[in-house]
Amino acid sequence: MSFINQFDGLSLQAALKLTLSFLIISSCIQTFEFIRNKKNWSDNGIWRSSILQNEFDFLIDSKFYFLIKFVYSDSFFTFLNYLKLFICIMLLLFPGWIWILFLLIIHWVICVRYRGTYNGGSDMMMTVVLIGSLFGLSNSIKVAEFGVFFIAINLLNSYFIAGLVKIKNKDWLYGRALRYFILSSPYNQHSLLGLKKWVLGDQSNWWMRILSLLTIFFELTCPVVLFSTQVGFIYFIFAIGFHFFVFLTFGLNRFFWIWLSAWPSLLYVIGQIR
Amino acid sequence: MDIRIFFLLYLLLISLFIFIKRNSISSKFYLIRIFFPTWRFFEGIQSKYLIFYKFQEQEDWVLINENFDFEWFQLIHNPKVNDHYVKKSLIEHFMNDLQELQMKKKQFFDVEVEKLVSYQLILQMVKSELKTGIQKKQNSQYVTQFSFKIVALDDKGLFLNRNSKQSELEKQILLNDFSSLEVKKYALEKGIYQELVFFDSIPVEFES
Repeated sequence: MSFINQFDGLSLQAALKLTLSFLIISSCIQTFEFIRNKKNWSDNGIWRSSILQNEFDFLIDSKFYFLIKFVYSDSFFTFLNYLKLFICIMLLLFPGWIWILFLLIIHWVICVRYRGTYNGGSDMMMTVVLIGSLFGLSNSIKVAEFGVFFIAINLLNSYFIAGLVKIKNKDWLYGRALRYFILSSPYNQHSLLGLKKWVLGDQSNWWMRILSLLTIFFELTCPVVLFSTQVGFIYFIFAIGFHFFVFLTFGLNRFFWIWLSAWPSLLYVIGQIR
Repeated sequence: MDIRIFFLLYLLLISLFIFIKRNSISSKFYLIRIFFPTWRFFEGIQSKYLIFYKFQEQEDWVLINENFDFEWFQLIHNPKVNDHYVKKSLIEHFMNDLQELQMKKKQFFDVEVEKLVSYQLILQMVKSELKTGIQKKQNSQYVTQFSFKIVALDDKGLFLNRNSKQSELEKQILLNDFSSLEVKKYALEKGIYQELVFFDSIPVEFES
């Protein structure tokens, strides 16, 4: 408890270091998963280049069409993944905005290949953290601060908007939506420490209501972190628990790591605003 | 431009997209989609899309259903579950594309659907499942064609009673367990099981 009382926010340097560390972990996790799933994006897989390039049929007569074919090719995607790993190593050894810019471009190309995003919100937060870090690694302190503020505001936005859309929805207020989402989890019924079985057995739905209201409360009250560094730190601990529960239930490991990489920025910002 | 103005403009744009765009990847919006986060996570109960396939007319439909075992290691490496989610969103993209096609033209032909990139991707997805299905089948050399269908499971109604009390059949529906005919019959009677798209007699041909 005394640590929480003494906590006075992170320094800019510490915030950026932590952000970059978690960003590297997150990027590596994503890349290894892509490499493991190669059979799905190779030329014999589902997301094969011969189909994807049809998206740009209107450019077929253009001299740039070869570029589209090249970008969507199996070999280029393999190259991109290994390049991403190499860039992560370079970023770890020689931190610099140029590596972040490369990561941002690669991330964008991968998302376009999957027609927008591969993993929804986690890809969007990845973009936010990459853009913020791009500014964060600038030599100018003002520009670096802007980058960190950019990540922090988007992080707050992510919780607040998620809470806002839930509170407008009666299914969430009565716990039905949470029940539905947990039962729709891709994990087996006997898996998840018996969670699905417990949810099915909770006929009164009281537990689901309580958990739903707690989720909405956590998300909507997130802006209060701006008023106290101690509250901010306690929220951070709850956020880790919250994202871990989401991973546990839905297997969304990418969300856990990328949200973790965004939190240091907010912990810096709340120290500055106070 | 003052960096603060850039920042405000960005937030304004994001707010606009929150109200205008909802999961739609129409036209070429997907090219810049990642730059406009919506943060509308787990917004509400929506229809689930299920894909079924079969080889012969007289056979039963087989549901493509992926279920996984939880492991702690998945916190740092979870390719299968992430792949499951991208396949799920592919079906939603296809349904979106179909809706868009419907909005453009009141009547459209199969050939127009077949031209859709999302349809071609779905077809590859079904084919990859078929490979496993064929391997399990005896006399697999006689498998020459297949059919598949997409079903919308609107099980929201099962959550609407005040206490969310469900019968055993309803619990099976909630868990996508259509192994018994009784479950499907019950879902059809309740009007929560709706066949949306049906593709028949597609030749089986796989690359080596």
